[in-house]
Order: sequence, then structure tokens, then C-alpha cells
Amino acid sequence: MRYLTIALAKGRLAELSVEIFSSLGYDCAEMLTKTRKLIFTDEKNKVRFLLVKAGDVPTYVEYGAADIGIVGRDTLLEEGRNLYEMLDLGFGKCRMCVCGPTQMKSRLNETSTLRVASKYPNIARDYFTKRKNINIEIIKLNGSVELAPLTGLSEVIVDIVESGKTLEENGLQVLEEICPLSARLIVNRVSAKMERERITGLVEKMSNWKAEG
Amino acid sequence: MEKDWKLLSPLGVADIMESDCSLKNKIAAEIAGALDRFGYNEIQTPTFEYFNVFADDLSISQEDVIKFIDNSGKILALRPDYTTAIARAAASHKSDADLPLRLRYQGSIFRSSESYTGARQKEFTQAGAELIGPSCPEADAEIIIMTIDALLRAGLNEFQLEIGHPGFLRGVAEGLSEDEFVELTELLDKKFILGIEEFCKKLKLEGKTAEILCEMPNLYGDAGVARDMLGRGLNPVSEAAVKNLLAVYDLVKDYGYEQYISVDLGLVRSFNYYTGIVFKGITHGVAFPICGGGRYDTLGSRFGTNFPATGTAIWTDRVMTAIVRQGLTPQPPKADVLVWYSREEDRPTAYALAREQRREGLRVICERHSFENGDEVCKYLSDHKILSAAKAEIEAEGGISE
Repeated sequence: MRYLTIALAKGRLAELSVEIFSSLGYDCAEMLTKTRKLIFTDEKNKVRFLLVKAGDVPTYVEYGAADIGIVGRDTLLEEGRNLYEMLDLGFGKCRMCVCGPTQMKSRLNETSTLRVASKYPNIARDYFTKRKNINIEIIKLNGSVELAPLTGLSEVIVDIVESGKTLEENGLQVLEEICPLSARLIVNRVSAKMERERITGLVEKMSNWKAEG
Repeated sequence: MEKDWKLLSPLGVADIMESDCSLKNKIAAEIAGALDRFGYNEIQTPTFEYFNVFADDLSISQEDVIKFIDNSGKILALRPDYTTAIARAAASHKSDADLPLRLRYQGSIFRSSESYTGARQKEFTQAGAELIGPSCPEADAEIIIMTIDALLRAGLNEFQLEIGHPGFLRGVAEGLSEDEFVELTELLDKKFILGIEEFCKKLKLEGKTAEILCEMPNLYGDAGVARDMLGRGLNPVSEAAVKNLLAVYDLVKDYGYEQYISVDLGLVRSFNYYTGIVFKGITHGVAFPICGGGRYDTLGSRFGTNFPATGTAIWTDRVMTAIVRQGLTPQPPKADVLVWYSREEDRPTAYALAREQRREGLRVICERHSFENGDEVCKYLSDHKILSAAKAEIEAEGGISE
């Protein structure tokens, strides 16, 4: 039997995913130990788990290097890959928002030269140009995006908001919500057909797990 | 110091050196040979044409087409799609009297954008064929059978051609606005059931429509999937689509190729010129379709003619990738036909049959065997890589059996 390969986004999502897979009877305890390994194999179920950076999960799945992936919807929207999005797993819930200082709220639709800082340039561009019909200048950052409006690098930011605490502590607020986010189970288009039984079996198990809460 | 860029090829195109090139040529020759054996004649269309030829097609986004401008200011495009080019050529050179037309082609297509399905490269080799004229299920089946033959000849043995029909969704989703239909298509294309459920709630779709829409992501598998739908009281558009699909399925089955086909009623996104049966081929080791095609009865009207047509396109590069990744270096069949006889007195008949078929250009092996049944013949054929068999007997004419 072929190994079924599952790509997990390193970090919190991977930890939650490991909990689910363990409760479904897969052996992935090794992933929770302090190790530098990136591939973990469950010989009994013929499953391999890969730990990759969140942004790379859709890439592995699209190209078929992994059959299945678990990743946040933010990454899916940003990457725009061609794959099946079979399940909303319901965990890792948060929102994609436009944030900035309070006074920007009224000016958001009037400013002609809006600079938007974000780790998600595609989502930001889509939202402003396609949905709001505003031309913007995008400034791509890789972290601590909240700094941008504070230092005058940009007027607003587009980022994930979970509790809103970081925003609050930096004197920013949510100006507009772009969309809700949560973890998704994604499947390679060819694998879904060629390994149909095993994959639908897994999808069903995870769907039941979700229903049971 | 900057590297001398003159030594590099531009992003998205590449040199293909000896061993890859020889493998690719072998595969291309096998594919071309298979199409040729169905009576399809090769034609060539220009590498670039007026952009207008392709501009009407919403499924090739404008950014994906590589364009340039000629001396008179007209916009030219590197061929982004073969079917459209062949339809244009047929419309400008052929009339109704020439139908049915069986045309094939091989060459490059060009797409520039990264967003295009699986396209990280910008130049791709495609081989394909178009059957222009007939609108019957037999024509669609011929195209699918020929595609399977070509993939087998190229050296693949494990692959699936999924057959769908856009009419099924069009019937189920009757009454939706254009925008709603596009949104629904995207959700179905991702097989995102939760999204479809929310879509139905939002539009207050209920009863059978919502039920079938939510099932659609899972409506793939053998012909039973489609047959079950017939008992569900579909509207006439969907019902006709399912019946048409089943008719084609059964014809391919009649040819003996059922193991290579399956049904996917959720196959919804492709070129928007497709009006009937659509299909795409998948295999291990390649994450993108290795071939695709379908019926496009209205494409000709873009060029002022009106002919029904159906066709196939095989992505030669992807077939090659699959063959390499599956560890199947191409081993062309040792022979086309095994002419066999069991009794001494049948030998003259066998010789006559073999001679006739060799004159027709087939590679024939003529041997005496004592096969008991069809299974034994099939086993011998697959063990010895022979494509088909014919039994010679004095009385009866030898019939070709797969």
C-alpha cells in the first residue's frame, strides 16, 4: 500500500492536528517530542506526516508531494492554489481584518494614496481593488505588522485578528472585517480520486470528530 | 558580478537536452501514431495568430495570453489553446461537404500566468485531435477511446479518464444569475461542501436542488453514480446530460476500456466552450490532468460556421513526467496483432490473414497456440506486450479480439 502523506502547518495548527489524529487512532506521538525530524511515519496505518511552514502546505498538496494538508484559510486565500477544500475543521478561528488608528475609519474610503502593510499582499490587493475598487500601495512585511501605522510606514494594515489584544496595546483597532478564518482540510485533486477510499474515510472520521465537538 | 543572462533561457521556458528529448520524442511518436490509426490527419496552424481569435474565450484570462504587436498595429497572440486554433482553421478552409473531419495536431501552446492551472512553465507540448461534424455519442466515445489508446501506447497503464457533463449542473442550478452560477461553480470545483450548504441557505435553495448540490462533490465513481441520479426526478436538462454521459460511458465499455474511465458529475470547471461531454485524465505522480477534452458544438459559430465537434488534448510533458515518476520507461508494444491458430489445417488461413495485415502496415506475429479461452489470450498478450489478437480458422473469418 502507498503511504498517505499529510502536511501539517508548523506551530499551533500542527499541535491541534496531532491531537485530532491521535484521537482518531493514528500514531503521531513522536511529533510532540523535542525532535528536529520533519517526517513522521505511522507504519501501522501507512501514513506519513510532514511538518512544513504554513505557507508551504498548499504548495505541497497542490503538487501532490502531500495528499492531504491542514492549514488556515488565510494561507489558502493568500496562496490561491488549485486543490480541494474538503472540510472546515472549525478550530483556529479568527478573522482577517483591515486595522489602523481610529481616525482612519472615516478616511478609509476617501484617501487616494492608501498604503497598506501586510503579510498577505494578495488578500489585501483583492479586498481593496476587487471588492472596494480602491487603488492601494502594498507594503509587504514579514512580521510585527502593527508597527507599520505607528511608524508612518503605512496608513493601515491587513492582518489576522484573534483576540484583538495586540491591536489594543498598540493603539489600533479593527476598521473593517474582510472574512472569517479557520483551519481547513485540503486534498490534492488527483489523490482524492486515486486514493479515494482512504481519503474519504479520513475525511469522514474528521467530520465526525468535528460534529462530536 | 552579474551572471551573463544571455546564457539562460527566459523564465518559464527550457532547453530539452538529449536523453529527455529522445524520451519525449518517443512518447510523442506513440501518441501521434495512436491518433493516426484512428484515421486522423495531422494539420499545422501558425504558432501565433490574431489575438481576436482567442479573445472571446473567458476561460483563458487575458493576462495568460502572450501578446505582441505586428507592423500594422494589430495584436498577435502566441497560441494559448489548440482547439480554438483548429476550429478557426477548419472554419476558414473547410465546408459542410468535407464533414466529418478527423484532424490531429501536435505542437506548443503558451500561457504566461502562474495562476493558470499547474502552469509554472510557459510553453507546453500538446498532441490532440478533433472530430468535427457528428454530434452523436459515438463521436465522443471515439475521442475517449482514442485518448486511452494513445496513453496506453505512450506507456502508461494506470490512469483514469473522468467523464462529466456541464449540462448536469446547468439543469440543477437553473434559475441562478450569472454571478451566482460562477460562485457555485467555484465552490463545486473545490468540493467545499460546507460552502455549498451556506450558498444554498443564502439563496434559500431547498428540496431536491439543495440536496443534489450538496451531494455533487461526492458524485464521482463508476457508472452507478450517474445511473442512480436518473431515479431522482431530475429536470429535463440534467436528465438529458446524464443519459448522454451514460451512453458515451457504455460505448467506451463496449470497446473494452471500462477500467480506464469513471464518472465525475462534479466536473464543472473547464473551457467555457464545452457544451456536452467533458473529460480529463489523471494518474499517479502528476498532480495535474494529463489530458482533457470534450464536446464544443458552438465554438465554430465564433468563426462564422456551425458545426458540432468534439476533441481531446494530451499534455505530452505531463505524460512524460508520469512515465518517469512511475518508473515506466516506455516499452513500445512488440507487435500490433497476434494472429494465432490451434490446428495445423488452419495455418493457411492464418498466413493469409497475417500477410493481409502486414500489407496494411501492422506489425504481426503469427504463431500456433492452444489457448482455451479469452483470458488465456489476454494473459499472453499482456505478458508479451502485444496489442490485440486474431484467431484464424478455416471456416470462420478471424475476428479481432482484445
